[in-house]
Amino acid sequence: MASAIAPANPTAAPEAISGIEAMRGVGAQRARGFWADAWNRVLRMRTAVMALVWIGSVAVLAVLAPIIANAQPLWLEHLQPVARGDQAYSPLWRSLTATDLLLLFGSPIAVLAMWLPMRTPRSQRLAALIVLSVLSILAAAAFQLFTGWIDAPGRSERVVELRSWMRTPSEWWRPIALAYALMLPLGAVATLLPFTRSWWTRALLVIAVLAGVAMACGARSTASRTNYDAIVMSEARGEIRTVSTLVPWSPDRTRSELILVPPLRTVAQAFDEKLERLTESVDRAKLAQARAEAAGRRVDAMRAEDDQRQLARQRSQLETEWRRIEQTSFAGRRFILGTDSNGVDVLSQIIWACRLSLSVGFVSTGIALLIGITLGALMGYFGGWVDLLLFRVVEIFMAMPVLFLLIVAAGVLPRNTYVMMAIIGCVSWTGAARFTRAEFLKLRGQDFVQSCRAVGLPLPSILFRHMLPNGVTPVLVDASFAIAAAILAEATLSFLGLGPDDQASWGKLLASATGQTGTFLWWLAIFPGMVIFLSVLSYNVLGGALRDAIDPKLRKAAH
Amino acid sequence: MGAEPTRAHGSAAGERPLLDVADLAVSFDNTSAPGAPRVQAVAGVNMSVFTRQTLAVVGESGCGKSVTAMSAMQLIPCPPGRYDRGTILFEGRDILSRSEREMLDIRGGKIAMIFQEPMTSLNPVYTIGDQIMEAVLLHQKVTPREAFDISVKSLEDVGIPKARERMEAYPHQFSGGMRQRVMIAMALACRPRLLLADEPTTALDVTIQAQILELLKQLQETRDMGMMLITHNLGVVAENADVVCVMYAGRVVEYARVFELFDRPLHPYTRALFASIPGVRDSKHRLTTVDEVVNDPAQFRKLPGADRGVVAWWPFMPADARPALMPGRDEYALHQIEPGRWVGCWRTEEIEGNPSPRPELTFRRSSAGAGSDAASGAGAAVPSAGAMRRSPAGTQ
Repeated sequence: MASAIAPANPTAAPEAISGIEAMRGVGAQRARGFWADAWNRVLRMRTAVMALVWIGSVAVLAVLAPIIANAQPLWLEHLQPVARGDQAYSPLWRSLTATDLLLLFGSPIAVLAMWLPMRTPRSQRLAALIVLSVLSILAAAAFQLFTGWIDAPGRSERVVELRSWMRTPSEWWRPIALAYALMLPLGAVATLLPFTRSWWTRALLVIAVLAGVAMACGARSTASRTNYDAIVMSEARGEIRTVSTLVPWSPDRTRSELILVPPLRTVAQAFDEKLERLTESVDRAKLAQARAEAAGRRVDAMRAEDDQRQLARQRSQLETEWRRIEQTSFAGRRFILGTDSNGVDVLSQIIWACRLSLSVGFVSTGIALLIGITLGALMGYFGGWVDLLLFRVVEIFMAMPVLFLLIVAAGVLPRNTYVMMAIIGCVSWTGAARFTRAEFLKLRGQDFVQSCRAVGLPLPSILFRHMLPNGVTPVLVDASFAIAAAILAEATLSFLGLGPDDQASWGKLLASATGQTGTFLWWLAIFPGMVIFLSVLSYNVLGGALRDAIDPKLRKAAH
Repeated sequence: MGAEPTRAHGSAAGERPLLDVADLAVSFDNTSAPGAPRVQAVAGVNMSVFTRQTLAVVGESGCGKSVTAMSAMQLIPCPPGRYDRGTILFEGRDILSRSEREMLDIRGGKIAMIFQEPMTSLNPVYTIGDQIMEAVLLHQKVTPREAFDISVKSLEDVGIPKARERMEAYPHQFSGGMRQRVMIAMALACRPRLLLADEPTTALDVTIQAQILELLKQLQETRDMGMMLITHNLGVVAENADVVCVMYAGRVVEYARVFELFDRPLHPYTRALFASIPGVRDSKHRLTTVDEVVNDPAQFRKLPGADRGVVAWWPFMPADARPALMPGRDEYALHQIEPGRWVGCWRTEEIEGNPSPRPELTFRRSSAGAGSDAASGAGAAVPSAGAMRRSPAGTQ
């Protein structure tokens, strides 16, 4: 019997420990936090994992869009020695904008910072990353505004002087220094935000991030427009050799010869089909002319002759164009998902539009959460007249029809992404506010909130550090659905032709599915529609999974 | 009889109280109906706490114990609540006139509070370490590393084994008793001058209760701290309190040293409370209720000076039994019946003519000797270690 009490091998882990031993810390393991636990439960749901994979691939495509889908060659080599410029270089790298650079370098750093095991807890790292990325977005936008302002025509002498000082080609550091100086006030504000414990870590991070942003912005302070066809032509002349990207098309590369090419055709096939169609048309015109002449209808015959001549001219033009590019790599390029009515590759547009969709979804929901949580927290914590007053504001916003407001705003305000994000965010915060209010009403009477006050914590700490994590779960679930709604709103606006006009968008592609002649172009409906559908579905599934993982009642029912 | 004799009665003459509640009145908005009268939760309470002293505040639910304690930290939510009158002097300065900003320093830093419910008083989403360290970082000028060490030390002080590892644990991993220890560690990590313990052991079982109270007693001695112990449990009072304040309906009905009160309760309500405790040796079919005692007019005549017009205050006394009151004044006054004993009385001419000093007793168990004389079956045991530690402190 004694052997049953004393384990035979004391070093081996005991099978079971008593409560008393547990109290003494035997077999104690580091507990996972609430969020880590919830996240693990989300990852156990297959649909949620699939949704995460989809959202993750959209995010990867959004970041890597300029490398994956670009009409600029990845590498360009001059076959003959050149007098000026580089013998071999990457036109793609030179064409990257400051935003592309920031995304390409910032995202891997952010992913590493989240995944590498570090002493700082993950939640704190996430908070720091969020603050720093918002800071870099604001800094980059501020510099863009600044360059836009000094480059605009009709500026004063001094501004023109500044412009030429900044753009002296030999002094490459000047725009970077200027960008850094411009961003410092923002950095000072960001240092004051308590996103890590010690102020010097904050200052260090802010300085590093701003240096990166300044380098990216300063190095790309002038946008260079490249002529895609020039490269194709010099390749045709045998001057250069190029290596192109995976999808060798950009959303801004249009060619009038390549309108409405169905999926999986190469450029050569597209030209062939077009030539064939033109030949047929010429033949048909010839036939019509012959018939008209036989019937003695002179006017019809003349019109048919005109048609025929015009078509023949078109055909010969197309043919000479074809002869010029026949031998280049361009002729072998494939439109995997076809082209739209502007002759732009659909796949490249879908890839680039991931950026718009993601940024609209997250930024507008972020704005909505910021407003909603702050107001909801105040309403719930204070109650009384604060609640009474603010809830009326909530009701006013709930009564607004978002889509009509967006349509009106798109008509009146400048049509760009930022305005759209701001509007969607500013009208869709009511859900977050109501959920936060309800949670805070429940939490404010709880003992730990009382004990927070008794410890002497200041109000922001009580509200946002202690109460918010306990009441944020329904808000998060709501946010997941709100992202889906924002993506849909963007798609709807673009479908109606009211989206940002300088960017590829899934909704815009969808809108061109019915051609001007009323024909249904299936590839323009199915592929963008599928992407929109999958994205919205993913966010909804994720929201549902998050709710299931967090809700203790559902969790108990599942077991 | 002025204030001087009372002060001299204490062991250290002229000692200033740490917390001095004077004529405090707090009322709440009655939101059930518009125009309804305000609820007077506390109506003129006087009490004082000295360093290293435990003042037990007893009384039934709703008598204003917790409201008094919360007022000492200005934690009463105002709009519904309102401080009608009175002062709460803490270290000589009024708490109620301080700004919210000043209160942030005092709360947790100088006055700490332990709540009744250990199961819900800790934030479930943060580790124990996070929560203690936040309080330490807030009130002390220390680096996070030092704060970590202070927190570990305070967890060790309250008897949590493997404190360093437990810093990373979440509240749900702890049992109720351990959570209450964590709450105490959190409250004491900043070395407050005064601890408000609002029913710290009500939610715990009896053995843990004894451990926690013993722990509080020890920590109070080693840290030179005053303590206001709010409880329903007269056994807890007998074992731990130095001075007892019995409250009823927002007023103090009796205020005395613990042994004197247990030996000879003066106010009928206090007597009723003691009478209602079932004894091990009594065999009764029914327990004595409070009503039986306080509805008996003979009980009121037992008060010394009852013939002179010193009548114990009781809100439910029939109108014909009440003495003649001073018109236009509050019906109630806390009167010193004999040195060191105060009883809430009707404000008659006799009482108005002999104004009594405010209740102040510097008494601590150890300085009154062994303290076994008044144990009176309640089983009061003075921890010997505490007594030894106390004696050098007394000579300083």
